[in-house]
Amino acid sequence: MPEDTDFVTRIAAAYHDLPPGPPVDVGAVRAGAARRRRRLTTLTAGVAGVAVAASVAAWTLARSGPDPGGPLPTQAVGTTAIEVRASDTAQDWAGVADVVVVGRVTGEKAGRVSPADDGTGDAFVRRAVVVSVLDQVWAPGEVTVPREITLDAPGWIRNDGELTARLTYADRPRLEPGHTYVLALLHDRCGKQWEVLGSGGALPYENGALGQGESAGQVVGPQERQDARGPLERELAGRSASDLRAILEQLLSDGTAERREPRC
Amino acid sequence: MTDDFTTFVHEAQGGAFRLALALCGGDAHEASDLLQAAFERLWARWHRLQLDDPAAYLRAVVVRTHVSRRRMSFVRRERVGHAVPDAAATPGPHEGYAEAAVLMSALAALPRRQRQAVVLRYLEDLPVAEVAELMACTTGTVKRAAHDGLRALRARLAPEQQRDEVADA
Repeated sequence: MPEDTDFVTRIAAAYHDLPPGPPVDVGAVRAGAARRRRRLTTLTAGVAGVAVAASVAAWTLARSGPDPGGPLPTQAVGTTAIEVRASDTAQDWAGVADVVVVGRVTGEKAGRVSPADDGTGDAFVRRAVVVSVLDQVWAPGEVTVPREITLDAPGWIRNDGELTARLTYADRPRLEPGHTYVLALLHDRCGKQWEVLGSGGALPYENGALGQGESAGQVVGPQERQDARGPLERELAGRSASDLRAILEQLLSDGTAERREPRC
Repeated sequence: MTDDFTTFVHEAQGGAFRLALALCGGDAHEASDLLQAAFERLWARWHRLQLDDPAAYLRAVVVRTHVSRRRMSFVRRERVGHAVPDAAATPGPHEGYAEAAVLMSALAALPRRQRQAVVLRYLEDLPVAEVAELMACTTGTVKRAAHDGLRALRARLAPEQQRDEVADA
């Protein structure tokens, strides 16, 4: 279509008119490559084994994925300040989440694989975790949550066909089988049927206490979650899902939070 | 003495930054970060690869690095550096280039897959099959994403274009 051709010509011209960016520091590139190699080969031998041991019974029953269990090291990767969606505050949950549920992870399997493409031969393997929905805590509108949903979660590092580490976001729940969480979910909003709001959209929740359960592959308790990274988790450490519901309802009713479309 | 890699970086960085900037929707910080990561990955393989077209290889690394970062769900890997970014008050690379700035803004509003398809297919002028390989999807998916993206882009830019034409007249 000529109109399309004209339009493409025009935007291509604008694109090629962009000036070059800041000069690349070749020394920093070389140093960065060396750091990257060290980071990926020196995997953090965390205390994940403790968490695994604590949930070994449920783990054994639930495991349907490729994880051999046992003392695989856990590698924590950071989340940047620039996430697609903010999810750390009650305003984030009230403004964007479609539903908040209590869910127990009952299974996992390997998902998408993407090569690290850094010469190490490593590949990132995502996980699809199966979550049994135990309770619906809050929803700003009508939403029907099935008894079982599947969510995407950090998985493993694989090299030469072998899993070499479990991946988790630093100071965030990894969503491990046998553990229970409060989850802020999006439903059919960004191309996925169900999706956690963001890295702060899952909170450990066991024995009726927020902050109790699993975080970054370790068993944690409300006391230590008072220093958690997310303000919502800090605020609610030791409190119940009902307290969370009351906060979310209040935020919308008094106008402190407003519903908005999620960034995808 | 300038080595091959340094020479290549100097020659290729302009085009690679433009691509990174477009893929990142005009976010110059993210584009610089992406470009740095891509060059690091290229350097890790530089001596092991016999590259007929290193610029094409770099382009593939930029795109795949961008894709793989997004596959890490909603986050990117945290990078800790000693230097404090000072560009907050610095004009973006497209500022002063009005039409390019408008284009970057319009690209930023597109869903990522559409943005990738539009940038690679129409702005980088790559064949559909090559775009599909870079995006790790089918040619049909590329065509659809590029078509939808271009349509959305035109809808966003049409008012700007009309305004410019009136001004020109």
